[in-house]
Amino acid sequence: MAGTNGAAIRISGISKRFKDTLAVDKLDLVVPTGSVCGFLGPNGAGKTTTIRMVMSIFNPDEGQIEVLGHPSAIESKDRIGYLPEERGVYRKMKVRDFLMYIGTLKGVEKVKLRGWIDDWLEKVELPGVQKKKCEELSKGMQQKVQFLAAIIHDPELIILDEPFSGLDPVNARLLRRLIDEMHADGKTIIFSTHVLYSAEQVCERIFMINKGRKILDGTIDEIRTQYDPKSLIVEPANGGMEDARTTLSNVQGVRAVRTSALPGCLEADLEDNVESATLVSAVASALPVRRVEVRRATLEDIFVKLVDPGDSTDSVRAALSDSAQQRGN
Amino acid sequence: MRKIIATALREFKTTALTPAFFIGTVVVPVVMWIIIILVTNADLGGTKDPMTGTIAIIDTTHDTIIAQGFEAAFDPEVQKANAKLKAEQVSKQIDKAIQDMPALSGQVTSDQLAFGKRLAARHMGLDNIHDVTIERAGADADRQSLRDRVLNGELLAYIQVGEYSIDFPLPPSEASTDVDPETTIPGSFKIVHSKTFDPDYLGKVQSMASSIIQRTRFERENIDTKIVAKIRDNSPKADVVLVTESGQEGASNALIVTILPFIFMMLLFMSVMTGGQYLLMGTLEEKGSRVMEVLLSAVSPGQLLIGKMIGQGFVGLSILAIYGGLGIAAADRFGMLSQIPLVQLPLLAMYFVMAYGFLGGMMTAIGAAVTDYREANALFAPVTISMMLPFILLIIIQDNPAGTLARVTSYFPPTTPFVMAMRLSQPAYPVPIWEIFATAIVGFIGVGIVVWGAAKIFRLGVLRYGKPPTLIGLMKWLTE
Repeated sequence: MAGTNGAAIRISGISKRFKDTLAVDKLDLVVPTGSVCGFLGPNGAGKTTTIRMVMSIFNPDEGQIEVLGHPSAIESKDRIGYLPEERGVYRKMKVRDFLMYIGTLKGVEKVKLRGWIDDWLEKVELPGVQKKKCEELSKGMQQKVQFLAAIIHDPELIILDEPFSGLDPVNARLLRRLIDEMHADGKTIIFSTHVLYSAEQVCERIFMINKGRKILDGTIDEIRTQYDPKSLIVEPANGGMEDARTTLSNVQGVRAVRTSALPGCLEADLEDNVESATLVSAVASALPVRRVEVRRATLEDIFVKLVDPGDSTDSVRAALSDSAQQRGN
Repeated sequence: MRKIIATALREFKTTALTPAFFIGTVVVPVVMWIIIILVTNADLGGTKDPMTGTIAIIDTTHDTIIAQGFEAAFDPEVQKANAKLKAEQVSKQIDKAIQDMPALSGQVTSDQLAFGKRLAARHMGLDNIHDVTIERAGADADRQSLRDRVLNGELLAYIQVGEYSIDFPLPPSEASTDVDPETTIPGSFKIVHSKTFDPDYLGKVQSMASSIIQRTRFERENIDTKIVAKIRDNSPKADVVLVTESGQEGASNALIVTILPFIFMMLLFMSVMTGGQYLLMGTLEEKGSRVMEVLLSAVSPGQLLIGKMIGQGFVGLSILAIYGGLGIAAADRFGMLSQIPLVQLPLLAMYFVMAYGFLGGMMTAIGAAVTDYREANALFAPVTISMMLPFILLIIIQDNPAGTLARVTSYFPPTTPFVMAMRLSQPAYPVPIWEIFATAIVGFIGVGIVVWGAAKIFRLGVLRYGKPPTLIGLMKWLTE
């Protein structure tokens, strides 16, 4: 059963304070049923606290949370898959026993679980580890087991807190594929991350919070439109950069021209009232170009723009570094 | 409920159904018992070297009768004869003791009998003929010089016997006058030795001097010492019989009655402590390995706490059942089952639940509040006090199970289960039914408060890392 008005999660004005720190401040969020949402923000922004409140691990000091149509996650824990940021396994337990235990806690019959465990281990490329103790697995393999523990009961709503943290590029790609598959099956997926590239690749919708407050909420397209940089990237064909700069400046709708970070390219900033796409043909006819394209806002750009680096320099830098690394892969 | 049962089952399975538990609970005690039997049977302790050296005696009694007595006692031939005589006496006593205890006679094998006699012979000194020379020192011998000789090992000891040591009663003139303790010891004797003198041999020398003095006193009163010895060795034996509820007569054993409260309390303590320790370790492991939040995604903190407590409670109960069962089996084998108040066993189970609820709650709360065992130690004070209190009170309560202290501590929840278990195991002091109910109500209210507090601390602490709270900090969590 989805929530009312098609919302898997509806958060209304929740706040949470730990001693002198206001971790979450009057937060409102709606996660549509069947969507894949990215929950972004620098470290310490309040993502994990919000998720823990959604999971009823913490109670909010004020505000309401509705999960899958219930006033808290307690009533629907068996329909929710949750991969916490602080995750672990019983080191001495065998992989199958661990997954069986978690699956049983989630209300799945043991008979069904056996088959599901074997199938999923195959799917995450961990065949034959059923009888191994968790401590015998590498860290990456343990992370896959932890992921399976979150979804082994075939939940409707999947909440993944920093699922890509610590994964190598191959496994990160595998996880993205699994998220896509589960999304295609109609599951609602929400994951927090500061790996912006992954969020950009997978999410339909993005929430961004900073200092416990929501600073961004919308679909990827809406956000890109909202944060459209209004600029074109132009690579002149004959290499005459100065001539090209002059010609480009004279095209109607171009506000300014500057050297792009991309080698051999210029970046044309456009007037606010101009549609970027409409100016592409005008530029192409004004000068010989090897390529001309609309520069799209990346989450990285938006993140930097919205999050004051002074508040969380390390986390922003880490987020950008992770993002660049993922993009490189 | 399903989730609580699943959690409890996992706790029980991962703790009790493991080789480590089996080894710790069953194999280790059995192996220890076998080792004790082997060591004592095989006589691995060996025989001590006999006493060798010189003992100086300053004997100012009439005819230096004590020195004479020592010289005679250390004569090798006399030693051999005495040891043989004693061993025979002990052997007869063992035979008689077995005949006097019909319940035991069928259980004691000839091997066990031979072993007992062998031990007796060893301890009677049959194999130990001492090579001791008695040196007579004059009444005016320099004490300091004798002390120096004791210290440098030249003498095993020196014995000073006063002029009136053998007098009984002491002449009134000697009993009240001021005497020089260096030269005169009225009615007694003095042994000076160094720390290198074997305590067993010191005891032997002491008892030799005592018996020589005693024998002399008898002889001076014209009493035949052999008759005295016979009378002493054949003291009247009571045939103590216990009438059971069914009207039958059974063996009575005062020792069992005396130690039963202690056994009941130890059983309770062991089982409760084991369950509690496993709870603490399990919680610390789950917190340390960060699997806790994974579990909390499936169950509520309250369900997890209750499931864990139930699971480990059954572990403790298993230990209670194993050791209690073995105890009952042993009592049955030796015909002493009638002395165990079996009707109280269900109550013992109830007191286990009470004691375990109390300790388990505290252990889980501590485990949730800290991140490692070292940090947990700092919060153990209330646990240690509540667990040690019954042991501190044991002797007083056992002495008077119906006394004020026993009654008051029966209503103090941390001690209720232990004190009540002790009281109920003493049928000579029956506890009124109303008191059993009243103490149970008070006890369980106490347990309820502890478990409520534990649940609160568990919920708050289970995902907290970093600096551990102090005891006062932990108390503050209860009001958050």
